[in-house]
Amino acid sequence: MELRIDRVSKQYKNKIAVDRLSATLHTGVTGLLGANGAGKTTLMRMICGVLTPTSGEITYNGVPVSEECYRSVLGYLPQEFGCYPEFSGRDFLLYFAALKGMPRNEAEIRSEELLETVGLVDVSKKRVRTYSGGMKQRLGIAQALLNRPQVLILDEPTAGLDPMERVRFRELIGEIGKSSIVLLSTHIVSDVEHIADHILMMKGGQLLWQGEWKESDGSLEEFYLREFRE
Amino acid sequence: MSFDINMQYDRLYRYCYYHTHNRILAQDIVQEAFTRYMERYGSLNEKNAVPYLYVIARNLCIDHYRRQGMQAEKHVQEKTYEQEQTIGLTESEDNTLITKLSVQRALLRLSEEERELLLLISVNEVSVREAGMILGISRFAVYRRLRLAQKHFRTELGKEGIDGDY
Amino acid sequence: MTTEAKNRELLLLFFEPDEKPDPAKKEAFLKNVMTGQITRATKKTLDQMLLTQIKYIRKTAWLAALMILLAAVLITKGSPDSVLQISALTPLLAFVTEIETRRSYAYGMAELEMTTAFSLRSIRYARFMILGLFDLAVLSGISLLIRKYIAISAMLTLSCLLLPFLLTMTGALLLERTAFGRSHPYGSGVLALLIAAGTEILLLPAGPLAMPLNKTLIMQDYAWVLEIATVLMLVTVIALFCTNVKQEAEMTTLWN
Repeated sequence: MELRIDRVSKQYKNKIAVDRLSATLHTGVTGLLGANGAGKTTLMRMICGVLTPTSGEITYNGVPVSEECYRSVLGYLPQEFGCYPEFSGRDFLLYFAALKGMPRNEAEIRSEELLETVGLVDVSKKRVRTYSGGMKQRLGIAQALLNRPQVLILDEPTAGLDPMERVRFRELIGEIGKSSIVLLSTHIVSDVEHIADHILMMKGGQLLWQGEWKESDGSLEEFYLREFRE
Repeated sequence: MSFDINMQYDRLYRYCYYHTHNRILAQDIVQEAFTRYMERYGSLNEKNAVPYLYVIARNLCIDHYRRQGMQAEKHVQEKTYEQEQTIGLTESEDNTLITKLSVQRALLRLSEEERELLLLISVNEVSVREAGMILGISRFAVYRRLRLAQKHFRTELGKEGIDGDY
Repeated sequence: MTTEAKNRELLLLFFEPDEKPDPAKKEAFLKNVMTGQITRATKKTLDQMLLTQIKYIRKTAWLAALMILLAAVLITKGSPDSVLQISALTPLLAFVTEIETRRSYAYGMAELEMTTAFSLRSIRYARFMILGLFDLAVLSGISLLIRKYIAISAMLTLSCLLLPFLLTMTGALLLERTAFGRSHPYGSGVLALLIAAGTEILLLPAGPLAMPLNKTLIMQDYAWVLEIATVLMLVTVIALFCTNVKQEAEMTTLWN
């Protein structure tokens, strides 16, 4: 299982959002650190195949991420997302299960299973617009897990979660990381410090630093702040 | 911990080839097993993917037996005979061949179940738990029978003159 | 070497296949599996996807077409002379249809839908096709109905019904390409009303294209103009829609 990012750049008219970035991701949790505007979301969108790089290539097990078959193994949680106003939590999951090509009965079982995992069973029949920020985020995470993805891309997934939810989330992600490639972006270092095996640090569209991070390496936060002050 | 599909494909193929002795058929069965598994369960990153794959493959092999009325044994014996006829080998190839024939003879004196256990667990590195699921017997039964199979194998090898401090 | 390893080596002398699996066949298969694409499963769910989309299209969209059908029935019963004025209602149908194909953008679902197996593109095409065909079917039904009361060809009636519809669609699709249009999705509603009003004025009894029964013969001489115009507009609408969908792929500002 290998997600290869090969000298990828994304250039807009007046800005270079991602600048010749290369990295290879394997099974496990990779944390993508960087301030807002560092290019994390742009990079993630390119990894998901929704944005085309200006140059460079991203492949999964040799298959370009622009191919349709890649989406069958992909799970994505964007930084922001909406919902059709008439949808309940359950409707939302069933809708995406259908879009992911899951047959109806399997979709129902899987949705129930995930609602339980993220703790939304009680409110599953209520409209999503009545959900709090944290609940909506949990629903988004559930959606990303519907098709048991081999590649899970999460853009600022802990924003809006309370401390309890954060802990639950870390456990969930840690578990998934054992058998899938998980890329999780955040500007909050403590979110990744304990669950990420591999860290990527971005600034100004470039990869500033990448490597393994073990507990014994000390405070990731200090290192991060130091690197970014320069 | 992640599923190494390449390795499992080869292992399943080894298993199916042992049962069918037909390259095309074995490969078709392996691929059919994966396909059926994927259709039902969607992802290979599940705890029980390996045993389920073997179960499906095994059933497909049994279906084939029933249709053909053949046993793997017969095939193996035929092959053994062929190989005994081979001439013109180098010395080291000759030695390997001799060992190979001895191992074959030894294994043919084991029961079908003993061979199956050795293939699954000792060769294909299926766990005892998984083997229990595949063969439909308890973990303890697997462990017990495996030990007996290994002992039996060593004894038979000894009869063939292959000893070893192994 | 460990006992186990030696044991395994010996066993492999027996168990290792003489014939290895065909590498090309294996490679192709593994690639398929690894990217989650098992042909049988995918084929089955394509039909399912279309059915799901039908299910997720709001009732309003279906109702709008059926309301027009109802209006047509009522008018033909009431005052058959003015039946072609139904044409003035079709822009509103176009508006409702167009809005329905854009729901993903309107409610911030677009980015998520781009990453699913059946992606946003196919959803947009599916909705466009399903509703478009439905609208066409309803309007065709109406033209056949009208034919009973006015002695002009069904094709011509259909063209009269379709022209305002397609004109509105074209306008709405062009509007979609502008920043203004995207941030004001109901802007095409205003356009629809304008075109509806315009059509109504043209068709009023005292107006230049009034349709009392005896003037229909004059219309028939120019039928071919109207019919060709309709076909051209239809092609334009389809082409515009396709290019819009392609363009939107890169425009992240739209997605939420």
